[in-house]
Amino acid sequence: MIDRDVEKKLIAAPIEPDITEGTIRKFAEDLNQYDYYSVIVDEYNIDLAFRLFKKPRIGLIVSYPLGGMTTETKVRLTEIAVERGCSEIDVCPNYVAIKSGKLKTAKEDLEAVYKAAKNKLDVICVPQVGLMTLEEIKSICDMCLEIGIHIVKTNSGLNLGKSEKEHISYIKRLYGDKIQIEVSGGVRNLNQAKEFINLGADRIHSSTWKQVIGAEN
Amino acid sequence: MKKEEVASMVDHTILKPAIDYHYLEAVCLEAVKYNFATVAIHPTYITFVKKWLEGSSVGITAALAFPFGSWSAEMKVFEVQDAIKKGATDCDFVINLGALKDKKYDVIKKEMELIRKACKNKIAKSIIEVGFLNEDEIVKVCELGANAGMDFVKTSTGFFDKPTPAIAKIMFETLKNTSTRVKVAGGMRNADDAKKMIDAGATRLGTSSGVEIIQGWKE
Repeated sequence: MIDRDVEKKLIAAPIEPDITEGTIRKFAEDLNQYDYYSVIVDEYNIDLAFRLFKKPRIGLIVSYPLGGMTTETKVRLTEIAVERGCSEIDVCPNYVAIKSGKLKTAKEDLEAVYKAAKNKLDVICVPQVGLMTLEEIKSICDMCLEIGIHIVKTNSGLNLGKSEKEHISYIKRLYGDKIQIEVSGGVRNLNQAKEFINLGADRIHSSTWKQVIGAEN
Repeated sequence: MKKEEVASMVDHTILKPAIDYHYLEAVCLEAVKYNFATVAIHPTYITFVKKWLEGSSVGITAALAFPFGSWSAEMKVFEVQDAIKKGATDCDFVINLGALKDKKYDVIKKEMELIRKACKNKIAKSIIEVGFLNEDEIVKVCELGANAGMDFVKTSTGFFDKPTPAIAKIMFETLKNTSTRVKVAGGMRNADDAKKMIDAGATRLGTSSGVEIIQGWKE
């Protein structure tokens, strides 16, 4: 049985190194049968995504998943997202700077992206909770709020760690409704999705999205 | 083969996100000590590593359009130019694999040609992510790389399936009468692994185990 609440919170992303037009077309045919939230793609596929998916909520990944692109490249991608009418970007901050305690460097990078978005789309920051300490997660969330970013996506997949329940509880406890939480990384089925939502997650991003919304077991 | 010669083939690679600047610094110092070809990093760290490599002959490889490669040629050129401006000596970019799978060879040709031009006299390496390709596709993309004047065709990003010596051999055979060479990346942990790839025809090795490879190398 499809869970209508989870369905509305679903983010899906046809992003793979060898993703073809045919794969995205098939993905869209499947996903368009449901009342999902948004679709995230890479730059080459933005226009195709607008043509194929039924909702105009298309997001672009920016320096995803490793965070190591230069500020200039992140800004250029953000400008492209704005130009093409994307509704959101998922941006990975400079993780090495954060791990090194160079929060000013990380903030300048993220702030440049935020400014380039010109309030035309949602900027979603990926703290990569599976790789970060709780203290580092807090630094990233604090930085987001200082800049004006109010949405985080916990992880970016690609075996870079999983989102655990404690991560969601922690962010929720510290920030309450000030930060929306999109859970990504390790959400495989409807039960897990519900658990995360009960803890305060606002949206669920999963590659096994049919299981996550209850369309398949 | 002498240790020095093997060392000169190594792109000392650090692309993990969860490290700090001290780690990057240590990687650079190792590269200088062993006289590796380059350190291979994400482009935002170029400015930082430059100071640790100053006065050495170690270059800087930037990992570009990384790791998915699903960008327009224009976006890739933007990133290549930015990386070179900051100090990259080698540009390793991921090709548009989806376009290759769709047999849109003009897309691959265009991005390779534009990137070749944008690289000027710097070294250009096309990453073809062999784990997703069949033999025909590998041969085809090697030919496209050679025609576009790539310095290297590179097996993989290291984030997906690892290349085998047999695949490196196919690439080498396809490229042997051209000026384009083979870079292998992913899965090499020691001298034995490296030797198999060199025997198969690789002349550049992307690895985070460069030190182990050199220490274990038997001349």
